[in-house]
Amino acid sequence: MNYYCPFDNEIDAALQSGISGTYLEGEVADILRKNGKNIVSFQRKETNFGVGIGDVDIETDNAIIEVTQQKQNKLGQLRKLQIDSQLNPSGKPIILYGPYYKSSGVSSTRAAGFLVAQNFQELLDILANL
Amino acid sequence: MPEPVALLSSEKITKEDFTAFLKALGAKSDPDKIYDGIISKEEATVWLALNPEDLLNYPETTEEITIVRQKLGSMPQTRVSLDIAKRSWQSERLAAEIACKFAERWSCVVDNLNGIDWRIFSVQEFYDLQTLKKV
Repeated sequence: MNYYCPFDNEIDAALQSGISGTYLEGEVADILRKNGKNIVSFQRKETNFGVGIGDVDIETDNAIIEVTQQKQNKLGQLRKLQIDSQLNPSGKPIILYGPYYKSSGVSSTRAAGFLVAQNFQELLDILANL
Repeated sequence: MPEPVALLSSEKITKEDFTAFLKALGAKSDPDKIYDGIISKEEATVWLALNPEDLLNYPETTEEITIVRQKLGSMPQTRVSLDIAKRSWQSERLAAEIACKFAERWSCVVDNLNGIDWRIFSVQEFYDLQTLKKV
């Protein structure tokens, strides 16, 4: 399949980074671009007067995807992504991609109103239904 | 967004004491009121929260309880989330410095909360690991 993604270089660099968390971000972005999803930002950092506000791992036309290799404790960051006008100016839904996230954490994250995917197919299904 | 690690302390730390600790480190308040404080230094940023809701029952599995008790000496009475800016060795180093300051006042261990390679470090081990990292 031919595809074009404006972040091809950054995604390829993530895949070759040798850092597991960064690699996972690259892996997710790679799947998305190969499935024709339009990536509008990748590893976007936001600051305000030099102070970090946060970063957006992957953003598509219709969602922000937070990629993690952690097993729990992402709720605060998801809330930040949801409400911060600089990180998420158009109020896109937030998807946590956490293949290693504990089942209790998945349940509580969903109960808090966030979407959670633990494998690529789940992520693609969620994106297709937004 | 950042990746979190947790400081697990055997001591019960009050909100007031934690707020004073943050103030002494020069933490700024979070405009979104999600975190208790944000510490920035040059290009580094760490977000801190005392007993965040998704750590309240941590550790919870038999394995987690066994290993945390072994490393800490008891079940944690306080959990502090340190959310470290991703792809920033400066932020990882800042988190290690914060952990050291925390440990000067309260006994604790550092839990990396990692789903692939879960480990619990002494503060010294965590500091040594972070300060070995370079650009």
